[in-house]
Amino acid sequence: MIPAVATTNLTRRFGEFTAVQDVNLTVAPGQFFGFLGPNGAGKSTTIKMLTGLLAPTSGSIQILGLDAAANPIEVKRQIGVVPEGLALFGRLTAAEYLRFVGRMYGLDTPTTAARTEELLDFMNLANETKKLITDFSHGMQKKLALAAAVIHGPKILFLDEPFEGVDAVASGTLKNMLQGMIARGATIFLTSHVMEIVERLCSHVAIIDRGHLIANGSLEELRAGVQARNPDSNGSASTQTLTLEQIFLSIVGNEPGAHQPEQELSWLG
Amino acid sequence: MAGLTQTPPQPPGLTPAPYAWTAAQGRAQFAALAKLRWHLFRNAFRRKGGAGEVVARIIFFPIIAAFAFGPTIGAGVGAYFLASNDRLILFPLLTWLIFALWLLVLLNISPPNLSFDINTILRFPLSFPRYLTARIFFGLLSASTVIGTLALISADIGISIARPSLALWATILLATFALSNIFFTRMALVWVERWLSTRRAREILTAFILFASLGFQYININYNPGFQHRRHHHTSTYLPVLQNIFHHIKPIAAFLPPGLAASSIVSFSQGHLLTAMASLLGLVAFTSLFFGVYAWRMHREFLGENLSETTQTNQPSARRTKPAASPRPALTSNTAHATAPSQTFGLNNTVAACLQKEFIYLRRNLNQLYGFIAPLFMVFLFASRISANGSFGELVFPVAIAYSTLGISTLSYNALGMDTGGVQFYFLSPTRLRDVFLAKNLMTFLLTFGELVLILGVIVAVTHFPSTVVLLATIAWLLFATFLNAAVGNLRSIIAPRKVDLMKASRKQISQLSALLALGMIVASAAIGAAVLFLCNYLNRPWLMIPIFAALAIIAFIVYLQVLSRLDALAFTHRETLTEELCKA
Repeated sequence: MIPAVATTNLTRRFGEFTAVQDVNLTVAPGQFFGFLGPNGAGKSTTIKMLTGLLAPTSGSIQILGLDAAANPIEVKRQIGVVPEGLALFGRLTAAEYLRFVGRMYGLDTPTTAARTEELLDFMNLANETKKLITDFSHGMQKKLALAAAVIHGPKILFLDEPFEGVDAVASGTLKNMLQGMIARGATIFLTSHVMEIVERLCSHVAIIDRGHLIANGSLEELRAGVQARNPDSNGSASTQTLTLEQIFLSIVGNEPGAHQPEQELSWLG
Repeated sequence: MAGLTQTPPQPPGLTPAPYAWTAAQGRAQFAALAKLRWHLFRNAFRRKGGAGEVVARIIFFPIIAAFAFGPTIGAGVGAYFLASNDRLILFPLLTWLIFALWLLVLLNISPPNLSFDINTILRFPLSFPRYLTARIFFGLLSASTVIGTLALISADIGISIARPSLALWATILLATFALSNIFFTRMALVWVERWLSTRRAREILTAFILFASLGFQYININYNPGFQHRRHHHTSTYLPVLQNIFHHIKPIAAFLPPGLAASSIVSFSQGHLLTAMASLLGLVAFTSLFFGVYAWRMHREFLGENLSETTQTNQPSARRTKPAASPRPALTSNTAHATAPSQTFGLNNTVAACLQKEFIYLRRNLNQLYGFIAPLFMVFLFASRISANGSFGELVFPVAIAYSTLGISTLSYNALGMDTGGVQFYFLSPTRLRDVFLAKNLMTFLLTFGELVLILGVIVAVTHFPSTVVLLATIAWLLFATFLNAAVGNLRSIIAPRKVDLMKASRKQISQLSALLALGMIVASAAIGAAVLFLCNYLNRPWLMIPIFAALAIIAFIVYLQVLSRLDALAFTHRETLTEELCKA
């Protein structure tokens, strides 16, 4: 089976600093894949390389079996992206923007118009016909960015912190839509700092730390791995059900040089 | 629970901060703010392309310095002349001129860009007086304050040399006048910002200013004696009207800060100490009023007033009628194969979509529309007068066309600037950047062509149809200049992008180096045009201009195509700079 995303020794350096080092990642089609890591671990750099916003220093990226460097246009036809900066054109209205995006992805005019209407309605943005995107709230902009990312029916959707700044109601809408896409066979690659969301939505998780991929597998596999590493007082593997946050902290551990809160910063509070 | 109320033992050196804020801590805050300002300024040059910006600033510096030097010397010499020739009665003229200069510079040279929202310092434990002081000092080194203050210092020196007995009084008065101007301009700016806190209000004001400037040009050309030439009778008609207006304004002007500053010095020189003192008090009252109104606005901000539209739109929409999570099965239909035909009007789908987007942006961008309309208007105003003088003869049309390129060609030098964060989309979608640039260039070409046709129409209406040779040579030259500007502009758009914030009219819309290059290219192409024109006329073969300009246009077109074909590769290597610059907050 051709993986949806596969990287081989993916590396990115910024001068002397190596942000991502030899990352080998495989995401199977139809997976809801969570990509986690502490701040500065290399998550955004990796997602930027996967989506074509950043060139790798070395290594290769395969998207649906296509080499991303050799076939960038064909790869981009197959993917949808909600990047960190949302990639919106502030001086357009939501409908104008979606129509523009639809045409840029090569959809015909009637299809673009129908999907625009449908997406605006679904995202509860249909009433904002006259408002320019620049005047939208952050949550509205995020919903619009997601609508733009799916208008062409991508096979893979890359989402960089899609729930950041989105209210609970809108968040529910987005989750419904994403789960619907997974049910229909799409692959979703998601980064988020909110462990609860990743735990609820994602079937597979990878963790990157200081540029290195340090864990990759289904939630059950990661849980089993952590439990095996941390036996209970009887010396046998713990039977306690670990949350993703506990798994994450167990794998990533504390930041280097970090101290126990009770030992330091005693002047706080 | 007792443990929760106990004060934990404090380790040595980590004692709780005292509640009383010391003067040293206050000074430390100011020092930190000053250092922040310096770091922001210094780091602006450490970005990619920072060296080019330094070079451009060095080139622009003498121009700005000359702009400051003239009024400074002029004010000093003028004050010296008035004081030494016992003509101090005319001193109000000088103070009003300096005041007008202060405002003129303020309107034309934007205040230094702080690169951050100064209101963010509100999160620190600043008292209102300290916040106010910080707000006053940040942005104090604006061109208007520097030039205006230098002019007043120079005027003070001029008076002091001519009449040493007036030195102290003049210094006090002019220093107070400087403070009055500083607080007046700061007050005006913050209140204008308050009133223009909505996009709609800003757009209306921008439209008003742009079209008022056209009206000003109309008045200037029709009523300024310098443009009248053979119409002196008009001047003689309007002069009494102007004198009448002046006489009506004069008594009011005497009670405004520039008038009070001048009259106090005049009264002091005449020995009327009480009148001089009264004028000084009047000036102090005005200064206090300006300061008070400015401080009031600052206090509102200090208390947390936020005029951001985004904050307002974060409120739930009153028009929301449906529950947000409406599970619509309609989204299940996947018709990804419903692709558009690859050609629309001979253009591929990407170019057509981008061109449509550019039209929408043009419609919503008053500055761009102004750049298109203003040259037409100016050509209309000037063409008949120039033609009547006979000084340009056949050259009215080419000169008008060369002038019109000033407004449009600079658009090419920061083509991605208005896309801001949207530029990421070009890299994320199955788009070749050359198609995006082709659409943007096509838009520029269409505007240029539209301008050509309209200018020709205006010229024909007010003068006569240009000769075939001049018409064809001008069109060929225009093609040459347009392709050349597009080629260089496309390269600069990728190498030195600058985010264009349409909400902030004062923000620089193009990098300093790009501005210099744009100006250089326009001057160079105009110079080439003039040289060819001169040569062909000298050889008495004006028709030779057509093949020469046509050959230049073909060369420029080839260069343009070469640049266009390399844009994707260039954008690929610069995409990080592009997204970093254009996506920044």
